[in-house]
Amino acid sequence: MKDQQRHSVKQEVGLFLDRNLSQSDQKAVLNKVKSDPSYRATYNREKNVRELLKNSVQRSSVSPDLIKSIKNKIKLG
Amino acid sequence: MSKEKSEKYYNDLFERELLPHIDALHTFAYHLCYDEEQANDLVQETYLKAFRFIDKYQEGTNAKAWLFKILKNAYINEYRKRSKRPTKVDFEEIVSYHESDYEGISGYFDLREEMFENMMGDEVTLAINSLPMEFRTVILLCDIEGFTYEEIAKIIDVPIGTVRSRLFRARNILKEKLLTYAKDLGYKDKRGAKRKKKRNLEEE
Repeated sequence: MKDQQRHSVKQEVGLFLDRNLSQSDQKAVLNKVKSDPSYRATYNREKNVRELLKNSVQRSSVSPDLIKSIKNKIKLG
Repeated sequence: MSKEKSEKYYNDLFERELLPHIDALHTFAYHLCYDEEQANDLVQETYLKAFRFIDKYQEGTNAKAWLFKILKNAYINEYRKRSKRPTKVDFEEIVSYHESDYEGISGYFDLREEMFENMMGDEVTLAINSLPMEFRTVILLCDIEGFTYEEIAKIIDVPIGTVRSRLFRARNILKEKLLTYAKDLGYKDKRGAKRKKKRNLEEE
């Protein structure tokens, strides 16, 4: 039962962090994060890993030449 | 392009709503093909197609999702054909299995915080890069670009359930890879150890 509860919390937190909950469900999750230490621990862990992933992927910055080339082709087209 | 609106209107719309996503598109393109030149070509092709059909785009709607869909289709059509590499995993085969799994949308890892806090970005990037393309795509779209399941489903043309199961599978693969890295760094996986100890004590 405890395992199932843990999975249920992870599932709810996952849906929240993946931006797939309704506004009222989001509020409910945030309330639980505030009031329940074990829920908060799961939330923090999931959030930290997502942030690690997000920060690890190197973001590109395209060269001004590419932008210029696209704009030129559009004008020529 | 429609003649109903002026050329200036479409040029302004292009600059204002489409071009600001160019860096995100390039990041996505690069992580699909791992080649700077191909990524640039892909981004350019995406913008040229977007401009050609700009009259189909509704001002103020989700330009980013629209552009990502065009890019993904361009990649599938042009670049995947070139590689002719067979997909190693039958993704849809696992969908029904994971759909029924109550852990199906469960989040990420049970890695202890101290484990992943010490991981180098390179290791995480390597783990992401080693994912099969279908799995890498959903991780990039969800965790890096912040699209919802519904948006991802539209971008990659699969049902939401498939997005969820691919995410689940991708995260599990990442978890295993990162655990291996963590162990290499000297961390021990103690998951379940406390529970096991408690169970043993109760049995005694």
